[in-house]
Amino acid sequence: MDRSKIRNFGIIAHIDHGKSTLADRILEICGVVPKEKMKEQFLDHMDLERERGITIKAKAVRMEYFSPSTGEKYILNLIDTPGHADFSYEVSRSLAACEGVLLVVDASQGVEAQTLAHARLAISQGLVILPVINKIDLPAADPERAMREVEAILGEDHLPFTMVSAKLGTGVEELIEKIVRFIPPPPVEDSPFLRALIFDSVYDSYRGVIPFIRVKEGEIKKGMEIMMFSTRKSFSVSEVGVFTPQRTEVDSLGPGEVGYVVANIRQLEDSRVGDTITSASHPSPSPIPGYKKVKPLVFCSFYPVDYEDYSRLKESLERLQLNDASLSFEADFSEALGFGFRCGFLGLLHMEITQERMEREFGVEVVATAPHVVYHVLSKSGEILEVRSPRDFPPPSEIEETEEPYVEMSITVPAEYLGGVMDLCQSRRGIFKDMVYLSEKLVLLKYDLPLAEILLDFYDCLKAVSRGYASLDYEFIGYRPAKLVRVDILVNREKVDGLSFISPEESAYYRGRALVSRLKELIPRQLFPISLQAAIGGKIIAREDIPALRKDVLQKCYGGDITRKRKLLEKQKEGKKRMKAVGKVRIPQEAFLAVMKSEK
Amino acid sequence: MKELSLYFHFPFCLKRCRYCDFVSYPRRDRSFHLEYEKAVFQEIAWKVEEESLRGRELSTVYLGGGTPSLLFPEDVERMLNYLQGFFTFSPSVEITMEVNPETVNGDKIKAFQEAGVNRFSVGVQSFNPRFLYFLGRSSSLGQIENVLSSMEKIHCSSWSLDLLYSLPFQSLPEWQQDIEHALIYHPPHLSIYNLTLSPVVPLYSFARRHSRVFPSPDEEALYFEWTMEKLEQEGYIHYEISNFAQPGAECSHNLTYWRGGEYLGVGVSAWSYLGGRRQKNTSSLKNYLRRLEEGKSPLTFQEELEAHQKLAEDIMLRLRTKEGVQSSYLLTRYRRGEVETKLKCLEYLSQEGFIIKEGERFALSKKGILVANQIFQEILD
Repeated sequence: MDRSKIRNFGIIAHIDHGKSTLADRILEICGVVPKEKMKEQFLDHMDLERERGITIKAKAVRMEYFSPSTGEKYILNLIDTPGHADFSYEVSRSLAACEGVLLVVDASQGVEAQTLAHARLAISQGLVILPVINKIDLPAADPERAMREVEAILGEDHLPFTMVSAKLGTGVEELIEKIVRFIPPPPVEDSPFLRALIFDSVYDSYRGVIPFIRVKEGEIKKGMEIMMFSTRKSFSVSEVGVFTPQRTEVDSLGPGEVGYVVANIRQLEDSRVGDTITSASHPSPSPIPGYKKVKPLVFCSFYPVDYEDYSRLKESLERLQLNDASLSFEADFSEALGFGFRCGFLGLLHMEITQERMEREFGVEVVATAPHVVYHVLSKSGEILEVRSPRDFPPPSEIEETEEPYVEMSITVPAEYLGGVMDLCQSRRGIFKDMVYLSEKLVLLKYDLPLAEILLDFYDCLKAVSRGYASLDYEFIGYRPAKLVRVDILVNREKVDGLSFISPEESAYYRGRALVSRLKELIPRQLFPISLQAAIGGKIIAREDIPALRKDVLQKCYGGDITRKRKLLEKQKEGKKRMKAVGKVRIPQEAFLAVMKSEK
Repeated sequence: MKELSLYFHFPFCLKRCRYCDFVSYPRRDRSFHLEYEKAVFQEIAWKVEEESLRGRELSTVYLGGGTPSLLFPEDVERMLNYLQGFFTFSPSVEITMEVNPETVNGDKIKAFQEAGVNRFSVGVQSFNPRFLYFLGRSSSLGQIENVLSSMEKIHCSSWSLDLLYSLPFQSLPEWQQDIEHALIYHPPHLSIYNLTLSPVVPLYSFARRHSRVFPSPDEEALYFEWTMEKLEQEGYIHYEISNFAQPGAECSHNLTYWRGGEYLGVGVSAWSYLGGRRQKNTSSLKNYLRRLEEGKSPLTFQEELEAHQKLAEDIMLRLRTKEGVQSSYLLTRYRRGEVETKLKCLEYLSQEGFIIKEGERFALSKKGILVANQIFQEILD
C-alpha cells in the first residue's frame, strides 16, 4: 500500500450540526454505499443514536476515491467519533488514529461549547483542521459569523473553509478534494516493531471481541502472535481486514492503515481503547502514548421495577458491557427497592443511554436512582476512603478532610443571556475562570464546578436561563477539597439508613429542610404522630411532624359489604406490608425514592 | 337449629340518588314488579332446597332496596305468607322495611304495619333542603317530617332514621342542627354515616374535582366525636360503629351480620352467608329474571373462607360492635396458635388506647372507632 495515498480523518461537530449527514454524502460520492441503499445516517447503527442524533461509539469506513484534479486514487479512512463530552477519552483516541479532522459548524448556530472542546483536542494532537461550515442552505444561515467564531476559537485567520450543505450535497466534492490536498498522509516512521492503536472494538458472538486499529508502525497479518501492551496478554491473529464498510478480509495491514483484527479475544477487558497492539515475539519497547484506563465518574443504581426481572437486568448489563468497556456495575441493595446494581458511567449521557438501551433492547424496566459522584474522605487515621454511598460516609469526628470531583465547564452563550448563566454557575458553587467573546454576540465562559452540582438539573437550568441557546461541555479536572457532611433523617428519633445523603456543608441545612418537608407529604398519616428530623452528627437541623391519623373508618358494613370491605382492607394491608417499617412507622417506597431522586 | 335471617332486595326506585351505589333500576309498571316477585319466590323455593333450609326459624326479615316502600302492603303480606310456607317465624321476629319518605304517607305506613312489618328504617339523610338537593333525594322536607310524625301516631315502637354527614360545605353547626332536628321525633334508633362515594356514582367525579369543599378527615373526626357525645347524653347506646339505639331498640337483623350469623339473601344482587360460604346473586335484573325462568342459579360469586380469614373477619365484624369480641369465644372456635397471635395484637392495640379491654372482652375505644380501618388492617394477616 502506497502510504502517500492514504488519508485518515475524523469529523467533529456539535450534536445536530450535521456530522452524520456529511459522512453519508462523502460515502455516497466515494461509491461505498449506493444512494438507493443509503440508510439515512449510515454511521449511526443503533436506533437510539439515530433518534438522538448522536453517535455514541466510534466507527470506521474505508473508501476509495479517484481525484479528478490529481488523477490519482486515494484510500480515505473516515473514523467517526462519539459526539459527547462523556466520551472525550474515546474521542481523543479516535483522533489519535487520524492525521486530520473536519470541524463541522452549523452556519445558523455557530460555534458551541462542544465544538470548542473537540477542536482543542484535535489541536493538542497536532492534527490538521479543515473547518466546514454546514447547512448554508438554511434561511437563518450566517456563514460569515460562523467563520469568525471558528477563527476565534482556533486563533487563526485565513483557514481553508469549505461551505457545504450536507443535506443537498453542495460543496461536498470540493471538501473531499481538500481532504486529499490538506490532510497529510500517515507519516513515515519506519521501525522494526509493530505498534497499532486500538480506537474502538465490537463484540461479535462468534468471533469474540474485535479491536478496531490504526497501524502506526510495522505490519499486522494473519497467523501472527500479538500482545496487548497494557495487559501483556497474547493472542493469535486469525484475520485482519478493513471496513468497506462491511468487514472485508485483507492480507495485512501496514503503516497508516485502518482496519480490524480478529484474534479470539474473549473479554472486552483485553481490548482497551487507547491500548497498543504489538508483536508478541518482537514487542515494541514503548506503547503509543496517551493510554488511560477510564474510570467512571458518575454512579447511579438501577433496580428492576418488577423484582422478578433481577436476573434479566443483570444479563442485560453484562451484554451491554460487552460493547461498552466504560460501563461498570456491581450488586447493590436498597431498603426500598430491593436488589439491584450500582453502575458507573463516564457521564450523564452515558448513563441515560445505558438506561434507555436496557429498556429498549432488553425490555427491562428499571427504577434509576439519582446520579451521584464518588467522594474522597481522608480519615483521621490517614486512610483515603472512596465513598460511593452515604452509608459509607464516616461520622464528622473521624474525618480529616473531604474531597469531591470537579470539572472544567465550558459554556458558549449569546451575550444577552450571560448574566443568567453566570448566576447559575455561581449558585452551583462555580469558580469563575475565564470569559472570551468569540464574536460580538457569542461568549465563551469557563467555570470550575463540582461534578455533583451538574448531575441533576444543571443542563435543564442552563437551557432555561438561556432560552435554549447556551451549550456546554465539561472535562474532569480532578478532586478538590470540599466541606461535606452527611445528613441523616430520623423518623421518630430513629435513623433511617436509606434516607441519608451527602451534601456540601453550606447547603446541608436547606436540603435537609427540603427533604423533611417532602417526606411529610410522602409518608401517610398513621395511628401515631410521627416526627421527622434532619440531623448532621448529633445536631438537628430541621424538623416536621406528621400528626396521627384522626379518622379512617368504613362506616357502613352490612351483609353485602363484608366480602368487599374485607378485600379492600386486605389490599390496603398488602400496601402497608410493602412499606419499610421503622419502629412503629411505615415508610413507603416513594419516600426513599425522594431522597435518591432529588437531593435538591 | 340455628336462627336464620332473611334479606329481600327490591331493586326499584323513583329515581336514583346521586351518591347511591346500591343496585337499583327505575320503577316499572306493576305487572313487571309482580314478575320480579315471582322470580324471587322461585329463588326462595330453590335456595331452601339447595341449602336445606326448610323448617329453619327466621329471627329477622329485612326488606331493603332500592325502595321497598314502593311495594304495596298486600305484596308484603304475600311475601311473608310465602316465607311461612318454608320457615317458622320466631315469636320475636323483627320485620324491617326501608322507607323513602316520598313514597309513603301515614296510611300506607299503617297498612305495612298491618301486613306484618314491625320496624321501619326511614331514609332521611338530611333535614337541610340544600343537602337533599345535592344528594339527589326525591323527598322534600315536608314529606320527611310527615313520615316521622306518623311513626308516633301509629305507635310504632321500633324504627330508625338515617343521616349522612361530611357533605360539601357542611359546617359543624349545620350537622348539629340535623342531629337536633332528628331528636325532635325521638327515634329509637339512628344510623349515622359519612358520605362515601364509590367511583360508579354520579357525585364521584364532582367529589374528585372539588375535594376541598368537603370536610377534611380531621373535621369529620370532630363531627363524629361530637355526635357520639351528644347521642350518649340523649341516652343512646353506640352499639355499632355507625349505629345508635335506645336500650332494646338495636337492629337484630344487622347484629346478625356482625355476629357472624347465617342469612339468606334473595333478589337481585343479594348476598347470603350460609354454612361458612358467602354468595352473591347477579346484579343484572335481566340476568336474574332469565336465569330463574330457565331454572338456573342466580349466583355469580361464591367463596368459602379459609380458617385464618374467617378468624380475622370474625374479629373485625365483632369489633364493630360495642360488645366486641371475647377471647374465650375465639378460643373455642379457632386454632389456638392463630387466636393467640390475634390476641397479642389486640393487647398491643389496647396498650396504645385504641381498644378497651375489660376482662377477656376487647372492644374499640372512641379513639379506635375513628380509625377502625387501620385497626382492622393490623388484625389482618
